Amino acid sequence: MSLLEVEGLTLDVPVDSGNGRILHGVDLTVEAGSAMGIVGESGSGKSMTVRTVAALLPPGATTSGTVSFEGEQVTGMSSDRLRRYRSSQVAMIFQDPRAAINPVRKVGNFLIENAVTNLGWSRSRAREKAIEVLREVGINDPERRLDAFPSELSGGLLQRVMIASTLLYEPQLLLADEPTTALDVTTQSAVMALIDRLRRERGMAMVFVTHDLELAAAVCDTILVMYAGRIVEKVPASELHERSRHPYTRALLDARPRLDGRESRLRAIPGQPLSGLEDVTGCAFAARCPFALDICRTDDPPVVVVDDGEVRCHRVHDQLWEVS
Amino acid sequence: MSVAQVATIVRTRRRSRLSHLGVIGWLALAVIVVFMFVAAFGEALAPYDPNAIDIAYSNVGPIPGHPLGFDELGRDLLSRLLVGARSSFVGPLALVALSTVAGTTLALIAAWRRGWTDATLSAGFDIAFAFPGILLAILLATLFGAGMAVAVIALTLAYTPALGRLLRATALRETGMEYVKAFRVMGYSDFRIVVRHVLPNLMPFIIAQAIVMFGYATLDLGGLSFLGLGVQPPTADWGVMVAAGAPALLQGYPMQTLAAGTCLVLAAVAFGVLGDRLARMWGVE
Repeated sequence: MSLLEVEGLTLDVPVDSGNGRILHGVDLTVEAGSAMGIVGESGSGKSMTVRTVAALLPPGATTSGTVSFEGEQVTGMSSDRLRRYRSSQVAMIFQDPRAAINPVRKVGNFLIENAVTNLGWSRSRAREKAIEVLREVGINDPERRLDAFPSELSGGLLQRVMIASTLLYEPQLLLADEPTTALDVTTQSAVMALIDRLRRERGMAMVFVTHDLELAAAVCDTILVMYAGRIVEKVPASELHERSRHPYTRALLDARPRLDGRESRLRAIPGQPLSGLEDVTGCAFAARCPFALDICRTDDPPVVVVDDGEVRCHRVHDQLWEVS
Repeated sequence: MSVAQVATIVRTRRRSRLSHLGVIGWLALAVIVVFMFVAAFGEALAPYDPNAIDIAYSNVGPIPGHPLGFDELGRDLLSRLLVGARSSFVGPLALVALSTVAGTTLALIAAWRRGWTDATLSAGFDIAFAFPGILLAILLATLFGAGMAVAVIALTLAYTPALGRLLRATALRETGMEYVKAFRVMGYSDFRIVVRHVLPNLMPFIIAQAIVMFGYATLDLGGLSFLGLGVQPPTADWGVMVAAGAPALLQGYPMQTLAAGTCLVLAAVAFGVLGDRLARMWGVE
């Protein structure tokens, strides 16, 4: 049994004209202690996927399919069970720590209240442990930081506080929703290195949502590429560059700047990104795909297992690229 | 940081606070403090018994020892004004307390539950808001008899949706914040998130709104007492005094109506101004 199994997950949210589907049958499996990266452009459903795993749905949303954690259905949890699940088994690190921490409460309050209410610790023990985890995430002078307000800390420090709060109870699964996007570049790498180290040390599994292909490949074991609410490719992180097969993945890889500077213009993907809300027949990427055939516009591509990955493309066997 | 720099920061911070409230704001605060003091200690401050009748002095103007003169029954006007402050403010206090608690609770429930709970409560607010409070009070007074308690309950029914509507909109924004989602993912109970984290963040708005409401409450309850539906004579009360002085007004003795009316208006304006200034200072207009 895997730690997290998501099967055929769909998510409908209320929009002006009735219901809009933003996830179209997402399947994923996360083994204990492993890391999975989800990449894709804005609106492709990456964040909604991880939020559904934490049972954090937008108001009025409905789901079908299953999300099971250690074999237990997350969607069927009672509110008590859900609270225990959230407070001890999963943790989420949000994109903008400044928005995700109540600005009028002190940092110490944020950490200590968490431990006292959810873990039932005594105040003094919670305080001790809070200092310990702050030190562990590399915050100097943790005793003093406990009395600081969030506005007095930098974004990078706050994100460390957020990470520290997850270390209080060491969940089995860490959901990181673009944890470094709101930080500047040098802080980004430090924070990411911290998450990666702590996760490995403690054997926590992670689902990591990002726009950054390189980063995802560096810290994850498996990469999922999402487009318009669908997973279009699953590939081992080590093979992302050499052996990914979906035209969308290749186009994303091509759209990155090259270190050797041989090309002055980046190769953009033509057309507009499709949001999951739009109705499509056939392959969601067909309209922007340079290799699209007639069948791509009429038939939903099946999932094809190749080597260690899975690809949803009609032309996966057509040798569009040299795959080593 | 040098001592001088620290001093500058402290000074600018203090001045900015003062200037946000403004001269008018401070004046309003001073008026309110004085009124509250009088409401608390009016009986001790009053030079004479507010209920001692002496028909010989009926509607006599200011004389030495009686700076405001006498009312239609020859009672000392200043004493009645001082003693009347309490009944003029106890009603509004109860009214504001009740409607703030009720309005806040309903608004938080609506904003937190959303969906049909929110739709039902919002519709309820709108319907209740359409009823003029004074008319409701007259209706209840005919059903249950006139009295302060009935007047306060009637106006609570009118004030609660007014605050509820305003606060619901603000609370909707607050409950949509990312930190609320973060707390949910950490496994906090709904009650704890709302009471310990959302509510404190809404407090500046609620306090400013309650203070403005207090001004309206003073006028509305004074008005009901004026109509004979609130505080009942012979209790000294500003609204009652305005009404009692009305017949004398026509005979050329305006002092009672004028004095009590001025106090009511001054209180209403002071609360309105202070609430407005506080809202501006806290950025929650």
